[in-house]
Amino acid sequence: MSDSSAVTLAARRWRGLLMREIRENRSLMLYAPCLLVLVAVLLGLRLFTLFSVERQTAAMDLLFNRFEGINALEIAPLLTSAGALNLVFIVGIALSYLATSLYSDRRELSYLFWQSMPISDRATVMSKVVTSVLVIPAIYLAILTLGSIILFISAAVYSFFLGIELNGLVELVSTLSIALGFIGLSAVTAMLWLLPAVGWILLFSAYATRVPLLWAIGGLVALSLFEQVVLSSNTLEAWMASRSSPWQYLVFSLDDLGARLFTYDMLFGAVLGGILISGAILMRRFAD
Amino acid sequence: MEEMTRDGLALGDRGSPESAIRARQLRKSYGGFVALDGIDLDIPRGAICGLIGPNGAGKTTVLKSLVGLCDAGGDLSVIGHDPRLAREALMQDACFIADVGVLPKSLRVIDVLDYVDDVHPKFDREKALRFLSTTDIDLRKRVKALSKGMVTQLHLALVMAIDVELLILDEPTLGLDIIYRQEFYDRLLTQFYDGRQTIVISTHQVEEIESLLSHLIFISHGKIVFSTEMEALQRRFVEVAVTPENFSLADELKPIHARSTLGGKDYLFEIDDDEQATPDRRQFERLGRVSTPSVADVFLAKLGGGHE
Repeated sequence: MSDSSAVTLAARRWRGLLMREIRENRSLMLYAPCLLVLVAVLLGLRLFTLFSVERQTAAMDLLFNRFEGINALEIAPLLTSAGALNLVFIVGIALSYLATSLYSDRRELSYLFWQSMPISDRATVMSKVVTSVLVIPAIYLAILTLGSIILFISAAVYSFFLGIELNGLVELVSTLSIALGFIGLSAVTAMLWLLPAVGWILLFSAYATRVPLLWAIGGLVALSLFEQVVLSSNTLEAWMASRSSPWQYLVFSLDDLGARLFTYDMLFGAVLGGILISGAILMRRFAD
Repeated sequence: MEEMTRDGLALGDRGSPESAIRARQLRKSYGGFVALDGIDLDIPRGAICGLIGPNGAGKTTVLKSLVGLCDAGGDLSVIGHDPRLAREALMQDACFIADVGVLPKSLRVIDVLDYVDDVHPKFDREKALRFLSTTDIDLRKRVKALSKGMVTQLHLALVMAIDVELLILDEPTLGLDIIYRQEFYDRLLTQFYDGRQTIVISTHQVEEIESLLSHLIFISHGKIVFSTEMEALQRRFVEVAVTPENFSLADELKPIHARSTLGGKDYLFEIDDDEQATPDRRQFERLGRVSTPSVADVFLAKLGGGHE
């Protein structure tokens, strides 16, 4: 087999693996973000309509002309911070997905079908990791971008009818685009920081016979209590708490990205996550 | 596989490249329960082999071991691979249908086709679509919306569109009505099997696959209790419908099984290789009407406790 056909085969295989995850989890990965974004858009529009036309005109004027001549890179972090809640949603969706990702096919016995395909347990488990770290943030970001575009176009059309000039349009679009990009990078950064949690949940998803998320949380609580009672310390609890705030993962520039990713703490988390993910692969292998 | 074997062995040309499946001392326990108790297998390439046994005999464990879904001990080679170490490579040349309920319920039919098309290098999508076009299956429907028969048709379409050397079927028609069951095996023979593939089938409905089989293995309590080629089975066993006046004569010939029928008894005799030890076939003809027993009859005789 030539190198190019081997690459093509591998690419097709990964497309199949990732598409499987999306198709099997449409509700969580597509419909839930759509619903969240739709609710946010509708709430925004509802709030907007509460104001008088004068105030609406002033707000639109501010929106479309305040940005004229500004440096989009300087303003974008403000919008990124305002979008921090999206990180909570993305991580929530990803962890919920992971909890059932290696469990639901065992429950419905389709496990035997998936295992009858020429796909290794390692590839199967890694496809879950890639889905949680990259695919879920990417889909969420795409839906968020679509919602932003709809909101933006609605605002531009409304402003046009109000007779407002759109002098800062280019800068506003640039700022929005950069802020969305930063939210995407922040989401991936957060998932990479949370690799130990990814591995831990996958471990229980691969082996638990029921409610894997409950087992995963219960396991952590038990370990933490054990440490507090037996060792009289709370290192685990403190370590978990140190990774629990969405704000700490927000990326406002490429330098920020490097500063958050290339640290010993991140490396430690990645190694621990790798060990736990390897455990999940072994569990998958023997979960007959 | 040897023409006729006994005492728990299904042996043939040991280690021959012609063996599709070769197992030695295959063992598997679940806690204290011994599912496989040192099984030896040799199934030649091109064979259609029936694995017959009662519930809990170890059939599914054997089949899962063959495709690396069960970590059994012992030596095992399946079309040149050790399934425990190289399941991914093995599954490029082997397919497994566990039972009718295992396709992912949340996916649409077209999604399942897309997935297999992406991950299986030997899958022929057009062939699968051609097969599905002869059924009532709507490609946009989700698997959970299909009837059991349709799910089986879909699974069969997937399997038949993959150019494999080995097909393993574990109770593939369980829960289906007779029309779907018959159609399943008809299509398997006419549209899939061309003599190159090896097929291993486990089922309770022995009578439905009897005519397909070239080889037969009986399994009970994790051990192989009997195995043979089908041709040998026909030479080896004789069923005689005996009337009451000949019961004592028939008993003297040491039948391996007897069951009461309307107006008499059906006796089952096994003819050993050693002709001195067993009576001539003509002796049986004197007792009553002689016929070839069904696999189910032999199965009952071998596993059901012998003489009534």
